[in-house]
Amino acid sequence: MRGILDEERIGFLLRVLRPAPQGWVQAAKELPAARRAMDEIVARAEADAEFQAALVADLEAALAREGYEPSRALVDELRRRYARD
Amino acid sequence: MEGDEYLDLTIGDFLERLGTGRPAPGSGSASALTVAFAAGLVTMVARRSSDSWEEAGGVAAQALALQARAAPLVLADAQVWEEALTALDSAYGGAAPTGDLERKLELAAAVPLQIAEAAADTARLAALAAEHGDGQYRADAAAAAVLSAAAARAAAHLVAVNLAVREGDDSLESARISEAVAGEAATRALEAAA
Amino acid sequence: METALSTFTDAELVRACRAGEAEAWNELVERYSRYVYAIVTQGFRLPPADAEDAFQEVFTRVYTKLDTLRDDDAFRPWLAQLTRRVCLDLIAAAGRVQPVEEVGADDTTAALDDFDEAFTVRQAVSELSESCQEMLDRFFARDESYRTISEDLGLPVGTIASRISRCLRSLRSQLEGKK
Repeated sequence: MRGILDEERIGFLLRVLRPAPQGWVQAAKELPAARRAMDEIVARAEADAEFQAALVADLEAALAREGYEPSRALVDELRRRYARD
Repeated sequence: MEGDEYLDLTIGDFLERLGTGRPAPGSGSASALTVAFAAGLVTMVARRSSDSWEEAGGVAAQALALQARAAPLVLADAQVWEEALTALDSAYGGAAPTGDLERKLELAAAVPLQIAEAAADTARLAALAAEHGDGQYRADAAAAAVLSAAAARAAAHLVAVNLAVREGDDSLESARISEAVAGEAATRALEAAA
Repeated sequence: METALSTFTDAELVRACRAGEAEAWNELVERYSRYVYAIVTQGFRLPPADAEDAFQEVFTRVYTKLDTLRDDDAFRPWLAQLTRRVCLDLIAAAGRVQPVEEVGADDTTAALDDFDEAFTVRQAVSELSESCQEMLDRFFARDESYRTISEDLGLPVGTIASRISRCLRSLRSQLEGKK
């Protein structure tokens, strides 16, 4: 619909870029911190068999005990790594 | 405008659906469509006034935005209304209360409230067009304001009669304000276009 | 709210992100969240749960693959392609075959063109007065009513429509001046 950039076209284009849900934006902003937490947890699980076993047995409980408050995406990724077969 | 089940119908087919024995589409859908019609008229008046009115382009842009807001509410109202009726039938039929009924009734009031607000804004814009638009088209602008006011009044009534809405609720207060605003705008528009 | 980072070009912002500056990452997300959201919800019309997954996956890939961006000035087209790829991967993984007429290549290309133009317009909005920025965003992008805008900004409600018209005229002049 390219054409003259008059007020009508501008109004249409302003309507196109609507705000993303605030929770999504916040989670995206927290990605670096989430990635760091992920790397930390994985490194620890590799070095500590007991911790790894706890993650496999009950992921959320094990993370909560260690003081982590992971995002859903992080939990999903950890579950993929450590879920019981 | 993106298509949906109602907007893709011809006017004739939609009128036929409106007249069937089914509860939806009903007056909420008809009100939303009326707002969309009114916004279209304001767009037309603004476009025809571009030579004489500096704000015409901006008014057209706003009218199109209001039309885009109102149009999806034609279907949305039908959907929430049908769901509320189903939940009501279930409750009256003796099914155990689930808390779902209250939520569905609230949704069935929320959409008419949006319709009333869009109608109020369209009426305001129409009044502006009646006051400043090209003389040949001011009657159309006044008609748009009157149509919007009628839609606002109808939608506000739907909010008021909703079983989940009570006197003193914010939604009811808001609906009444929209109705009053639209009514005043229609009066101004008719005077300006006289 | 304008910060020093909000005046950075995309290339400057990308470099700051690579250097590990947390605020730069926040600004990048803030700057492009609407663009990505538009592509996944309007371009590819993903349902809400899938759209959220796609949104997060896009920014995850941006974060982990920023080093692979060859030309820092071309961040936006790189992001658009990445987002497109994520959406197509998600649709394929769900085993859904999109009917050609639903998400045709022409449809998404046309939509992407609109999103690019919309992004340019949005950047121009940031050069208007604070009041214009607020009114235009609230009315057009957030669907707020004249009454809500009037109450929140402390302006007479009967003046909002005219003010919006004047803001649009200013924006048009600005964009024409940039051609």
